[in-house]
Amino acid sequence: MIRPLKHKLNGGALYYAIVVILLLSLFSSGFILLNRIWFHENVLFLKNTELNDNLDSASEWLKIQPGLVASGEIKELDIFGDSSIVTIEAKKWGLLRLIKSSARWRSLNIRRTALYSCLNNNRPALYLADNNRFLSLVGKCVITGDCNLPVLGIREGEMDGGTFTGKKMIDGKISQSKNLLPELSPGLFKPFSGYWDKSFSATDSIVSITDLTRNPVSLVSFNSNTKVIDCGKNVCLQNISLSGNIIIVATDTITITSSVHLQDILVFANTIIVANEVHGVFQLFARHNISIGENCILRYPSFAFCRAKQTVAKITIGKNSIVSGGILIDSDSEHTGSNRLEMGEGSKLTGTVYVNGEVGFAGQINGSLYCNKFYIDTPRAYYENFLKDAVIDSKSTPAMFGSFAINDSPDKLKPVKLCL
Amino acid sequence: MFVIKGKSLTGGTIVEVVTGMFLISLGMALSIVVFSKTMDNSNLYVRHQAVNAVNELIVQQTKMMDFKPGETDTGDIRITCLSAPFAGNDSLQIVTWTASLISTGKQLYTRKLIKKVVE
Repeated sequence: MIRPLKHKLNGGALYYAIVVILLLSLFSSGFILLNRIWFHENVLFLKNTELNDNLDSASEWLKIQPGLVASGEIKELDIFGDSSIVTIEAKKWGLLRLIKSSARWRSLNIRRTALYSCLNNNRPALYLADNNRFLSLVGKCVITGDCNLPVLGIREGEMDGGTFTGKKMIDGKISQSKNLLPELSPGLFKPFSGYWDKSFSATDSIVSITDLTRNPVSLVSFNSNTKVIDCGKNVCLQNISLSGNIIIVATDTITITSSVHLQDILVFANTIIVANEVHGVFQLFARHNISIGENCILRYPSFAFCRAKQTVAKITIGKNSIVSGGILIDSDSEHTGSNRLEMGEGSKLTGTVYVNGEVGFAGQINGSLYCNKFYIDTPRAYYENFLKDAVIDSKSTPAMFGSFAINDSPDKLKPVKLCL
Repeated sequence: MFVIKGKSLTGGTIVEVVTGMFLISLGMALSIVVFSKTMDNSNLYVRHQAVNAVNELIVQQTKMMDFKPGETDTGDIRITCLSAPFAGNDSLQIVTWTASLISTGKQLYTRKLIKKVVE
């Protein structure tokens, strides 16, 4: 029988064993470290590049074929047919599209969130519904791009002793328009129409107006839940800075003053008043009226959307104000004649301007204009379907930026920005 | 004499220590060989050159919107650009850039992207 206590090791052997174990563990950790460095330096670098390339490729595909992932869908795309899987989630952010894409390899997960605008290939410079009236041009009118006009066509007009002084009435093809404007797709605004009635989404994080007092500066990522600020009935926004995935809602009126800094957010109310000299990027959604003051700059992509329910929808753009993105005026009822867009002198609009009503044109539009008729109200007379010193250009560079698609089936998507 | 805590080591222990040291130096030598071999095999330096060359070419071609198939030599590296039709959409193409060593033809780096067909 072996008696362990009899076979004692001497002290030297113990020291020797400890030193050898220590050295062996040093070597082992060295090799593990080397492997780790090698893994990080090489494999992760290559995989990181590959995943980013897959995301870029998916984005390129989606830009050309927007129907690939419809709004509200989540799809897994095998980009190259070799299990290069990219997961894409598309949804609406106002009149823009929010696309979240991700690609994964083991624990490496690369995500991208981006806003896209829509663009259709055949965009007219002007679509004027056929109301059995000529379109009369006065002064230095410049219309560049194809036009859809009433059957009576276009002519040189006369107003207060002035006539048409431009070089060419229309620089583009002329086609005949229909009695009604091309119909707006209900899908364009359906995902957001509930906010007017405060029917929030289940994933929304709803806070009251006191949150604005506590957090006047707020930035919410598009990868987290939407922050909805319920402002009650009326609110005047002052000295706040809101950016990202935020929606402001009020049942009656929201006033935005020049001390406010808004970036990418959505605003819902019955009436929205934007004071003079407001600068920012935001989308306005009103039921009755949107009034944009003088010298305002609503940078791209900003939108003003007014859709009346049994009332009249009206958007007023102040003198020298700029709205880059798009304008949309429509109503649920069939009486659209009184819907109105009033453009102040020197105002500039970029993108698609859709007015299911009449337009008091002054200034410039870089993009497409759809409307039922034009009006000019002077102290002497009221002129219908007259355009004076109007500039409409659907072929300029800003017109190519992208806006919203009336039929909600764009031919192309244009990347606007990468989001947090 | 080697003394630890006032105790003298026996001759057998010294042999063991020497053997241990020998084994350790053997291990170190082995690890150095393995390490240098690994580094050699990985061609880290050449691979980094290939990565930079391919990335630079992609940036240039994207700027010019020109993804014509062809070969470009940069130092010891040859970059081959190939394009293939994309099954999902006719107006897109799959462009592949492969960097390889001119001398051995060994592939160092590959990138693949979907790009718009330039008309």
